[in-house]
This record gives sequence, structure tokens and C-alpha cells, in this order.
Amino acid sequence: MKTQIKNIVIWAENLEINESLSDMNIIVEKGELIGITGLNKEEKGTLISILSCFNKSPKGKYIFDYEDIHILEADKLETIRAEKIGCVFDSPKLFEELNVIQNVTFWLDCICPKKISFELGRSILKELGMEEKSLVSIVELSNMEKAIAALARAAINKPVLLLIDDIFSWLKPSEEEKFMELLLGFAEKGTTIIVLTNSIRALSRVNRVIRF
Amino acid sequence: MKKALYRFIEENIMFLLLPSIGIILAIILLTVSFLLYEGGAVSATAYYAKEDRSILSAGLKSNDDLLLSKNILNWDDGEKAVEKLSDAEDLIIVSESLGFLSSNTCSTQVKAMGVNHSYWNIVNEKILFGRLINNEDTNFYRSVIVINEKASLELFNTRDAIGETVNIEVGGEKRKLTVIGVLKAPFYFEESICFFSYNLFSPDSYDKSWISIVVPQNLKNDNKDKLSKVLYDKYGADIYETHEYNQLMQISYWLDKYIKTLCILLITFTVFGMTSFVFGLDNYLRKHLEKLIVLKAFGVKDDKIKMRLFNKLSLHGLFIIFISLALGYLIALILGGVIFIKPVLLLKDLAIIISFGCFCMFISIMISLERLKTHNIL
Repeated sequence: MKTQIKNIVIWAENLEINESLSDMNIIVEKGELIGITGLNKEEKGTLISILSCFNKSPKGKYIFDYEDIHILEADKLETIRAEKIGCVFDSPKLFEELNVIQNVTFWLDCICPKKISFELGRSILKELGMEEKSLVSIVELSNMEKAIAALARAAINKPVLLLIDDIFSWLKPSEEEKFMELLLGFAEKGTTIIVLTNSIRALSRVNRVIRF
Repeated sequence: MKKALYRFIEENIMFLLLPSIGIILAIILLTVSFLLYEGGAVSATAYYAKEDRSILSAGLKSNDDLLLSKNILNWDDGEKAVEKLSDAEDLIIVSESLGFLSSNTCSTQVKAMGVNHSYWNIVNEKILFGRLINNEDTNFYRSVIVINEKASLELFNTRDAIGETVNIEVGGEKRKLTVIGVLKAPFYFEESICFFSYNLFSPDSYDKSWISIVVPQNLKNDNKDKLSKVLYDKYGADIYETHEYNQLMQISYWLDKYIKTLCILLITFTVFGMTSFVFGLDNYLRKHLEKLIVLKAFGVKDDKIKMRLFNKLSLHGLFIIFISLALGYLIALILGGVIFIKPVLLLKDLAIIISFGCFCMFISIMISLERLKTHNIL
């Protein structure tokens, strides 16, 4: 495999997801928006947990942003997740007792001062066109708005990698388009995005599709 | 904020309310039981115990309910015993009967108590107006009476009935007496009661009498033997034994009889509180699990997650248990204050009650840690 090392964000070699998916190779460059398809829910979950440095693959090699994940300790992996990776789950996983901005800053509040996380939250909501709804209760949002709030939560600290699980099943076709537009916007600014979905509409907008 | 708090309470009602009810009931039961015991025992003996004196009574062997009404000393026995027991320092006389009390406008049935001045040393009463029956009232056969506030309200429609005249009928004998004192009546006490010198009526007028003899504490056992011998002359082998003051015996008798029920109730309330805490906590943790998953996914360190969760648990669970304990103590003390006008708690009782509270807190913390481990959070 001959690849230019410059701007590589993910270098995964011979990753093992399960017995039938044991030699997975993925290379993703900075600012790429790629789609991964052909995985069932369990396989998707396992791949996301490996790519997001939550778990290590039992075999193979995974280098993320020039760091060999297999040799790093749990503490360092947590730091990488907090600083460089954002996740949008297959359901928004927003909390009804919190309003939009509280949901967006929910995890960042545990890491940095609330004032800073609030400013970052407001800024990302403004960027995504949701600033007006920042104090609105989650229950009052449409599905699209919930998906955007989940995206805002994942992208609040400008991560290197955004992992998007199949959120599209939550959205109407027209909303899928709009959501992909937002993702393209992030990709243009240099964020690497991996979308795990089987939605043809979503996959049609990505730079590259990896099919398993 | 209010809406969020309301929603939290609504969603966690089992977590918050049921353990609180169990703990509050357990604490109330424990504290009130001690107040009942100490309130009765201490008020019955404190005055004489303070002066190193003991109170002796006597009962019959054949009677099972000796503790309630079978003090066999009558006035004659009491006076005879005082003559023969050189150490006897005081005689406490209480005679009781049902009677009728009437003013110019109305009449009421009362519990009529013929007492001497020593009686006030062994009861827990609070005087609202006037004074109590004293030694001179008995010595000079004064026509005076002390009534409780319920009788005062019924007869005169006021609590301050000092100086009013009442007609009283006890065992067919009638007297006209002047009110010299009004006593506070605890709320549960629905009876009208009056007190007057026991010798205003003949011994036959009363249904029952309790007479006790006060002796120095260090000579208590000698005098018990002497009193038994004195009474043996009259009652023969039926004499049961002389014993400490009747009221103490009543309380220990009551406790002996109901101790198992009390313990079962205490355990039931505690188990109910703790079990509902476990279920409520599980429910609470399940709701929080999703948040924890999100936090972990975003790389928040385990220590911070634990700290955050522990803070919330402390605030929402353990704090509620702590508040329940405090509320339980408070309600128990208020109740105790109602049951006994001067509630009494000794240091050792306080230590037991507070230890029980600490035990509940300890169990709650252990349960919380165990449930956190079960949910793979710790």
C-alpha cells in the first residue's frame, strides 16, 4: 500500500470487526467526507467504537492523527476523544430536561469552564442556524432540529474527525439533503467526516464510499 | 428551573418519596418509643431519684394485670406501713373514680382523682393557671379542686376558671369545691379530669387506689422485705412482691408486651425505605446511564463522570435520606412534645437514635455504591 503520508487522519490496517470482517483497511485524509456502507447495526457500532478510540481492535493497526491507538493508554484515548473526535449517534440522544444549549454543551461542561463552553455552544449553534432556539426545550424541536443539535454537540470543539452514525433514519428525504449540506460545510473547513449509513441519498453526496 | 424541578420530582417520586416515608416512619417510631419510655419513667421517678429516694408499691401474686391496678395498699395499709417502716419518708396517694362535675350552667362526667401533694412529684403535668393541691389543702380538708383545661372549657367556656365554684359527685357523695388550678391537657387526652384532696371523700367512694411509699434508695431492698412482711400479716401467701413504682412497671410491662411488634414495625419501615431506595436508585441510574454513555463517548474522563454522578446522587438520593432523617427526628420530637408535655430523652437514647440514623445513611451509601457497580458505572 503506497500512500502519501501528508494529511492522513485515519490509517486503519487489517482491523477486525468480527469473524467475517477481519481485514478492514480504511484510509481517510483531512477534510474528506466519506461514507461507509454495507454494515449491520452491530458491525457499525463496533467500527465506530474503534474509529472513535473507545475500544481497540483485537488485531490490526489503527493510526489516528499520527498516533498509534494500540499503544496508547485509556487516559490518553479519552483525551483524544475529547479533543479530536465528535460523534453523532443513530438517535440524537438529547436530554429532555435540558434545553438546546445545555444539551450542546453537556459534555464540554465537564471538561472546561461553563462560561467557555457556553460561548462555544452559542457559536456552533449560530454556525448551524440554530442560535434562536438555544434556550428552547428539546421537546419543542423537530427531528431535523434535534439532529442539528446533536451535530452541534459533536462539533462544538471543532474536532478533527466527525463520526456520523445513521442519523438519517430520523430524517425526511428533504431534511437528509439539508443535513448533508451542513456536513459538507464542515468538510470544506477541514473536518474529516465519516458517515456510516445505508441511505443512498446520503451516500450520493459524499466524496467516497467504502462498501463492505 | 421550576419546571425542571417539578419534572425531576415527578419522574423520581419513588426515588424521593417512598424511602423518605419509610425512614421518617422508622425514626418517628424509634424516637417516640424512647420518649414514651423515658418520658413516663423519668417523670415518674426523677424527683425522688434526684434525692436518692425510691418508691415502693406492692401487688398480689395471683393477678396477671398486677401492673395496672393491683397495687394492694389502701389508705389503712399505707398508714400502717409508714408506722412500721421507720425509713418511710413520704406516702403517695392516688385514688380514682368516675364522677360528675357541674357548674351553674352545665355538667360533665370526669375522671375524679383524690390525691395528696406527693402525687405531683410523679406525674408530668403543666399548670396553666393557679396552683396544685398542696399539703395544707389535705391537712385542713380544704374544699378546693384542680381541673384540666378540657373540663374548664366544658364547664366555664374558658381556660382560666380560677375562683369558680363547682359541684362534684363521687361515689354518691357530693361536695362543693372552688377551682384553684387548671392543668394543660395533651391533645390526645379526651377525658375531663379533676384533682382534689383524697380525704375529701371516704375511701369507699373510690373505685381504686394506689398508695406508694418513698424510702431512701440505699435502703430500698430492706424496706421491700419489711413491707412484704407487713402485708403478709394481712394478705398471707397472696402477696406477690413489693416493687418499684407502678408507672415504671406499667411502661416496662407495655414494652415487654409490644416490643416484638415495635421491632417488627421498625424493621418493616426501614426495609421498606431501603428497598424503595434501591428500586428508585436503579430507575434513576437507568435514566442517567444514557448521559454517562454520551459523556464517555465524548471522552470525559471516568473520574469526572464519577464525581458528577456522585454529586448528583448525593444531592438527589443521600441528601433526601438525610433530610428524611432530620424530618423524622423533628416530627418525633413534636409528637413527643404533644404526648408528654415535657418530653424526655436521655443521652444514651439520643446516641441510639442518632446511631440508627447513621446506620440508615451508611446503608444508603453502601446501596448506592453497590448499584453503581451493578450498572458498571464504578
